[in-house]
Amino acid sequence: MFFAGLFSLFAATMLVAWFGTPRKAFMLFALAMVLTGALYLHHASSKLPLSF
Amino acid sequence: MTPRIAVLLNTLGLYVISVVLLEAFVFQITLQELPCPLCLLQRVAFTALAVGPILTLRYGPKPSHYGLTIIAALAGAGIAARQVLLHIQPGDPGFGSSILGYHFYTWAFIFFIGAIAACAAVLLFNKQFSGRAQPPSLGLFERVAVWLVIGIAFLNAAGALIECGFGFCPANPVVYELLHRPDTT
Repeated sequence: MFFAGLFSLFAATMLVAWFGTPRKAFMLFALAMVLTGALYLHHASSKLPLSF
Repeated sequence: MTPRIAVLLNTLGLYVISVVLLEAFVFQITLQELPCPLCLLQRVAFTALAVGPILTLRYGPKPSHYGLTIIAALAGAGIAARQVLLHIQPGDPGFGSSILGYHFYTWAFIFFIGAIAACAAVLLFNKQFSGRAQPPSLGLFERVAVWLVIGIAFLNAAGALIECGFGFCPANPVVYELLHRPDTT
């Protein structure tokens, strides 16, 4: 669900970039990037099968 | 470089992003290989790459639009680099299939670095920013590029929902959570 939300948020950012104002698109982009970083940190801190 | 050429290059960039995302989707379905969370994050970063070019197509070339693309590419390169390092030990088979000798995350890393280099190269040409603040006139070629990448972003959203379900994605997904019926016997 979180990845689906991220993809949808970036798609919404593109729609805002096309139909809305650049300022709103920049704000949505910033929000989506922060959420991407948060999701990355969540998965980076989970146990992964390492090769060493 | 005129604004018209800059718009053309940004349009081509959108088509390249669409091809990369579609190719990943096709390989996922044909090879029955489910993308891991890091793979999905790289796809998210590819999707983020498209925002800058769409702004350029809509409002004309501006340095800030390329800045967005560079930020997205840096994030994508960081995520791809982490996955490369997870499998860097000699003898490690890596995650998923490879294409032309490299795994998808290695190609993604190369692509993201290429996107940063391309933005840096395009930013060298100041003439594209000296035009009047007037939106460029767009044809079918440019409009198809925009709607194609938006459609693929929503397609990926649907694919991620089917794969991960309503929770966090498992580290090594093997089934589509929404299509999987747990064996109750």
